[in-house]
Amino acid sequence: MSDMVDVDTQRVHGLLSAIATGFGVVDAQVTVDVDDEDGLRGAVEGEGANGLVGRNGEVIDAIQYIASQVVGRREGGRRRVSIDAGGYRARREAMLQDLAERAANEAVEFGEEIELDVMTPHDRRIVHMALKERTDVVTRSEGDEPRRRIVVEPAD
Amino acid sequence: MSDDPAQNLATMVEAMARGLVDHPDQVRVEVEPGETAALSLFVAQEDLGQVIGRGGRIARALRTVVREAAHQRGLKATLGIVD
Repeated sequence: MSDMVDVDTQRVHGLLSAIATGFGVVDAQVTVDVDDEDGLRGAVEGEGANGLVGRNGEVIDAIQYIASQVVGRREGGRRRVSIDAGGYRARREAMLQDLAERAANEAVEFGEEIELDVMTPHDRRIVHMALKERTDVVTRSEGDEPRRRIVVEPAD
Repeated sequence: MSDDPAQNLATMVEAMARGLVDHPDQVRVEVEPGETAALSLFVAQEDLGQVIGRGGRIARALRTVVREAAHQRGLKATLGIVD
């Protein structure tokens, strides 16, 4: 990254600050970082930040979708946007990585394909990445959105 | 900054909409207070698609956020989109 001010970072920061105020988060701390792949990672912390998550993460997913639209539309390519609140995604990422490992172990142990539940593209990516380094299994996605899911199979 | 929760919701919707459209100066939100606060989002006609989205996906996301923000404040709120 250059030291030029990143317009998208500012836009996402402003968006998240307004949302934190809308939700009544007390002493909200909003951060937006750029990761190694030039994706944006925004987070809201503070008392009441968990309120931005919603049941099964449906609210934080909606916020993330809006943020990606705010960023995406003026860019040539699409920039990945990930939004967290109250540490939810970190907890979910750990849970998905654990699920991926267990599915991989099962696939190897029984020599069979293991089909996982339907997941969002964001969650599928975490599972694919979690198993990328393993040489004893391969992963692929099957089915059409929004019913797309991951299949883990033993490598030949 | 106003401490009126319904007004805070309106400010939040304005900020989200301004980020989505080509004409942020034409974004306006009206609040009709009541047991359920009725928020109306006004945008330039040519920007409607940018707050509604393909298959209504953006509008649905906006409504999800508004509903939950209201809920967190012990309110009920609806969001209408007007051109």
